[in-house]
Amino acid sequence: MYFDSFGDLLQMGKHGFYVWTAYGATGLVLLISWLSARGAFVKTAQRLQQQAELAQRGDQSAQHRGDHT
Amino acid sequence: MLSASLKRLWHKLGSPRWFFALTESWVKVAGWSALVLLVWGTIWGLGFAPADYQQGNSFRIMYVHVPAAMLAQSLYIGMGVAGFIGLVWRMKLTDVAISACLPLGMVITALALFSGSVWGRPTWGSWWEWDGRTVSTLVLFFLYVGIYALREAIADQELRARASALIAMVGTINIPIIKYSVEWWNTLHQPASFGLTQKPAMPSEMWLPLLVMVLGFYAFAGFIVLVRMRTEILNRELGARWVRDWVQVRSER
Amino acid sequence: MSSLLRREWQVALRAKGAIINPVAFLLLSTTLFVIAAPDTVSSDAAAGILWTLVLLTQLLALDAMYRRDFDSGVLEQTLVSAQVPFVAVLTRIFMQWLSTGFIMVAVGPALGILLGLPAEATPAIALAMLLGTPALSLLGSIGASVTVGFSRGGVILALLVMPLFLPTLIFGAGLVAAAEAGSSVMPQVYALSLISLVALAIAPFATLAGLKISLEMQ
Repeated sequence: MYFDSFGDLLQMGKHGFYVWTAYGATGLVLLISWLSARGAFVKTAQRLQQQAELAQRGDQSAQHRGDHT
Repeated sequence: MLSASLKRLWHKLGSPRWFFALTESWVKVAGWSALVLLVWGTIWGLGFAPADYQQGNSFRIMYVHVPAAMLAQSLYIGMGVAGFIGLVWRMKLTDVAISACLPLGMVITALALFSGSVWGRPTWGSWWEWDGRTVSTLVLFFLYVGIYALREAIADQELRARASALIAMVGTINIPIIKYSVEWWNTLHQPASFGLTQKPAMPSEMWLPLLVMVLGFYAFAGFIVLVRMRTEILNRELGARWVRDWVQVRSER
Repeated sequence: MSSLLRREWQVALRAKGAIINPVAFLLLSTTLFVIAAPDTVSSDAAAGILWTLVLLTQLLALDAMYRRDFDSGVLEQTLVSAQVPFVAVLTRIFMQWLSTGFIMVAVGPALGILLGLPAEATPAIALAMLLGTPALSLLGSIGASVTVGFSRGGVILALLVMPLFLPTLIFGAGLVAAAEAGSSVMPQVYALSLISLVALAIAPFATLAGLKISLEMQ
């Protein structure tokens, strides 16, 4: 490692604040991008699944009624 | 023979269903390589690369700033190319691609501006310099905002696709002109500063982490764009049979 | 072709406001600028201010570029009946330029004097307007064609078009500043010509595509 201690790594000479702000912002942006993209995908998949289940149940109850008559 | 099979591939590429099936595995590859590359590059860049003899440790911001700036531009050009293909070959998929690149491109451009500003403070002594590259990136951000506003304003999906494809294309043609003119402007109004990345021959222990980070950013963008495209495809093809089949296979797993 | 030009010209003449309003706006905004910031008169900033105001004037005029014909249905007729829609679009852009950019060639030098630019710079201002404003009309036409279908397209038009105006602004103001400083203006002349030529190459096609989109939106 380039730095002697973990404290040095945090401090980065005098530039710790700037370096960590930039990396923090980057991490945040990438994380939010990932979470929102993933969230949208999961939400869509769940909605499709619910629709499929509803349709299936509709089919079954229709069949059920069919047996009665 | 070859041209016929190429033509078939081209048509397949335009089919949302085929694209959806094809990218199932790509998503995982892109996502995992992004994770590995970004973690590896960050540790290397933050902890192991030597400090710059002039800028000290603040130069480590380069490892996130430069990839973000590159990606910001690539994503816009990607939208322009997608727009061109969409307008010429009337491909549905290209608008899906534009809708996926747009939000990511916007936040990455904002990130490039922000990290550049944070880097500028210790290096140039101010949070904002009207440097050539800064201005180009700012204009790029406005180009993104324009397409975003346009897409918000058009309700019809087909027309929205064509309008944003057109504007993305026109913007992409203009990007080099904007860049060169801003560069020329910058040589006249040179602020008292030194270039950030115009170092004579950066040693390899400094640019290798940058390479890793650039690859990581591009893998990440590929991952996000693919996930967003797949979501959009599912939303647009709601009633299609293959979507229902996919849902069933997924629920059985 | 000639009948098309004649028709467009008659329309332009009938709507005198289309010519007078931009000039009035330009004069008014220059006055406001000088009163708000008197120090900019005769300063290095004058050339830049002149060009910025020309840009904004053009932007205001662009919003009306296709609006009336679009609302009345004339636009659709023209595009359908024209043998070469490309030429019809190019004619319209040329007419728009005549009523804005070309007027700037005459008005620009006068504004330059108001802003305290030296008299020697006036030919340079006219030249800069002549070479630069075609790009504004051409690129602006693309934005106007896409936004003409919106009830409030003005802001979106500005967002779409202003970034594309930047190169013209840079070299236009640069040309005037170079003339002021007494150095060669040839680099700027070449750059402005090139920008206008590139705009000429893409604008008619893009405008045509944009108008078709807008017409379908109706």
